[in-house]
Amino acid sequence: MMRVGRDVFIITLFTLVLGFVFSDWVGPYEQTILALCGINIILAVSLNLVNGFTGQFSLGHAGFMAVGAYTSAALTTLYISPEYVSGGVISHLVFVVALLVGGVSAGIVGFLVGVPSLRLRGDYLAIVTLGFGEIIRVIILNIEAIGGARGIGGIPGLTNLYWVVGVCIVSTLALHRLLKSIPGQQFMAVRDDETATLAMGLSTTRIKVRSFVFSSFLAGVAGALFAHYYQYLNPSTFTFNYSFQIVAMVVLGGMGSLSGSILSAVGLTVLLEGLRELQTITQLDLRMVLYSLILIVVMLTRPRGLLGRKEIWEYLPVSLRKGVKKSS
Amino acid sequence: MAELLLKVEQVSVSYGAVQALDSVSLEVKEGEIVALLGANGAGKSTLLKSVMRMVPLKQGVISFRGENLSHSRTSGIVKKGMALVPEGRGILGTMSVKENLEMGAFHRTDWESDLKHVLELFPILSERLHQHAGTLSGGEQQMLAIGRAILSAPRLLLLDEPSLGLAPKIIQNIFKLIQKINSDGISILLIEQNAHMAIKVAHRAYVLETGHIVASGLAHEISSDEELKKAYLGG
Repeated sequence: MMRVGRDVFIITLFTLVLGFVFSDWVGPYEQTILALCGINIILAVSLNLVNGFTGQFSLGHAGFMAVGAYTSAALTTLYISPEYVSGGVISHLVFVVALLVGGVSAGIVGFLVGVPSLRLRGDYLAIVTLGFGEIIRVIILNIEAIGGARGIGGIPGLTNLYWVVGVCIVSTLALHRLLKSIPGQQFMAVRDDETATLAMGLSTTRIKVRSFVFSSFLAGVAGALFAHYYQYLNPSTFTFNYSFQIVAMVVLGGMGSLSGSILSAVGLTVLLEGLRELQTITQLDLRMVLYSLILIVVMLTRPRGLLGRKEIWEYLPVSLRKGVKKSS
Repeated sequence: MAELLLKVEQVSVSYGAVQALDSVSLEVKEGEIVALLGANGAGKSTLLKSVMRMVPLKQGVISFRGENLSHSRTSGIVKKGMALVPEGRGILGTMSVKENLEMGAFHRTDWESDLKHVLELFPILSERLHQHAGTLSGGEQQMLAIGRAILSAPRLLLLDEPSLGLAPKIIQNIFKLIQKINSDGISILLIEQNAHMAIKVAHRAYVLETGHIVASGLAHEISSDEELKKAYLGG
């Protein structure tokens, strides 16, 4: 119980301080980037659970994000009368429900996709999840009730930086704790040796589906944050391109390193924005060229990602590490 | 009369068009060490996998302590008291030795004393308890794999090539430990290419050739049969 109390304290403290700093001391353009960073962190750490820690390869993360974004947006825009989402305590309570609805619906879709496709491995799984990601997008594209190709607008702007920071910390901490627990160890057992894990009497399919569902849930929550930040959704946001970007963050940060995912999610998001400056100077759109070049250079110099399979504090000298461990 | 633990009756398994096992029958009784010998591709590993229900049976019945396992899953079979040490040891390389051992006992609550027992049996593991399992030597990994299987509290231990890739001296050590585990009351079904070694520790043996059992009997009978000796035991 002590631990829970301490966690709540730390989360609240960080959320309030960072949220305050970000919303009051930072300009609006930088705020948008920070919000996107936070959303991308949630997406990257959740995909790392499947791709890094469970050793599967999913390429459809944007699809699950889209499910969460659209269901939560539909809830707050189409089904709840505007007076409940126009500010105040009630609207934040409504937003909690919207985040959960987004997460749960993405989790359900994750389950439906995961059960048949997680029987496959490696490249085959990657292709099937890629396909499912696109299927989800095309289905959304054809549902007129949520705007179809026009997209859905007028979503209440309930996401602020407090929410982004808070959800980001909670989901990362939850994943970190999960991975230290016995069920979390089972994910890594599947990654290390699936046959041996099966021989020990663990149901590897169940473990993989569990990992996939939890990961989709977080992607859905990230989608809900995204929807209520930008206040407008369009199916073309959630193409394969976005899925690929999230995979790039996971691979670049290190498959199996949460802190690596956080670093590279922030790094790549900021980089993509920062390179815009260059465009005004050179009058050429070199963004994607440089972006790809940086990815190539990092993968050549650090083939297992920035942090490999270790967390960032594992790189600290042992004497320092003890202090960090106690406080974490 | 010792209790019949494992009974394999007329089991056939095929991988697509390739028939890996063709009406194979064998038994393991309580307290025995049974060796399953044969060349590469004879179907030895397939037999162990079919016993653990990790490959689908085409026909035949497998029962454990009188209970038909045809509709069981691998997870259920482990709980009933069979454990497989897979070929190539199946070490979880990025996890610590302790975590590997704990994983073996994941469905039990009363395993702390067994952990102590395993660490007494393999003292080297207690020195390496917090090391990554992937950094262990081949012999240590084999000990870890066996120790992990013991922690699931099996009555019957299935070992798939425990000598694979190990130095002769270490192989001797491993086989001594196998006998020790057996004398502690765990029956053993053992696959080996190193037939000399296997037949020395086994009570009975079966010889498998391209999916058929071609010989079976007490270990010393098999080892004294000249023709078998020539064909399978390297003269």
